[in-house]
Amino acid sequence: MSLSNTRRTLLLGGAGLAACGAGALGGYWWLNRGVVAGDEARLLDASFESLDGATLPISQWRGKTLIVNFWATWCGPCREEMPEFVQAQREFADKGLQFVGIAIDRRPAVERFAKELKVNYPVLLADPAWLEALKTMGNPQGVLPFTLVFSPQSAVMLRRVGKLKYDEIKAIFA
Amino acid sequence: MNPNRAQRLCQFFAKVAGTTLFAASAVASSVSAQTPPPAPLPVDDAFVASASVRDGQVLLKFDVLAGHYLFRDRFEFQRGGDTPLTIDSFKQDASAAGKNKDDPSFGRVKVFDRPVSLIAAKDIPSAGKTQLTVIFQGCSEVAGVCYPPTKRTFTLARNSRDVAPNELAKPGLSSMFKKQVSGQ
Repeated sequence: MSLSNTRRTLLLGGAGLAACGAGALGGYWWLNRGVVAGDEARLLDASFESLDGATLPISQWRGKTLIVNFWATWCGPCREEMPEFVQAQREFADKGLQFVGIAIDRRPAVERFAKELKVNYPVLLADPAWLEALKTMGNPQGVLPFTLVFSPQSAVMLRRVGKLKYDEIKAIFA
Repeated sequence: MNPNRAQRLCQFFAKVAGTTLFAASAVASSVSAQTPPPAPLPVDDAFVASASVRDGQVLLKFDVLAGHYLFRDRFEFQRGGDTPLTIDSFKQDASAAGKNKDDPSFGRVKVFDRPVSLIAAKDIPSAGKTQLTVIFQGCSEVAGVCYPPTKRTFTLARNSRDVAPNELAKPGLSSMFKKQVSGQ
């Protein structure tokens, strides 16, 4: 092996190491971007009533990739995106995905729609006052649908005002 | 270090780096390909409401911004403590009939997707002030979102013209001056 070849190999290896480091730093940034301490903490510490009357704390899903979707039956775009959530929950549950739907709506309408769609993740009910709380979580107009994606470490990975698509969920687990 | 071992180590790092960069770029491109929808406007900018009193009846005007719509059947009007009334409680003109929209979730619904004037109350007394509350609900097609039911209240006199909702009223100069002077 000539000296120039050794140098070239060392340089290539060094560049590789640097790229690995940059990749690791980039990955860390990617997973932790947009984290705002405090605003979402209230949601993660909150409990909501489920359709069967139990009070469920959001904290029980810590350690999973948690997608919290705020919706209502009076919101057309909310109803349109939910079949894709059902599909994603089915396909990525074994990779640690946990969807939670929080309906800001009346119980009978929510029960009817959740049954009709065969929703395969917990559907909880929230007081309309939560629409105000959402304004401090990246949804300044308090509109629906609104979705927050949390990493297993409870860091905010994504805030979406409007529809979240199946392909975006799939990309998280790619 | 043995030169052959160093070479193998470097080649290993180079391969790992190449794979990492490829995977990172693939994830980044797949996520960035999803362009998020535009941010929704404040509800009072999307649906600009004003009220006027003409011939003893309250006319509510909604300037519906392009790319937005209001559901016709979700309007409610309430004067003082009276029972809430619907659009069809009053004899409206043709523009208040609304336009058919085939909604993927709700089927065929009537909506207002352009400015509209609605009769919201009648028999306004010739003296004193009248409080009128309207509840409306609409969506933004451009942002792909819906606004929750919104309540706006108007304080009206017999000759009121283009009055903005009380919720949007800005403090007057006199009240600001009073606050500064009194420190209240």
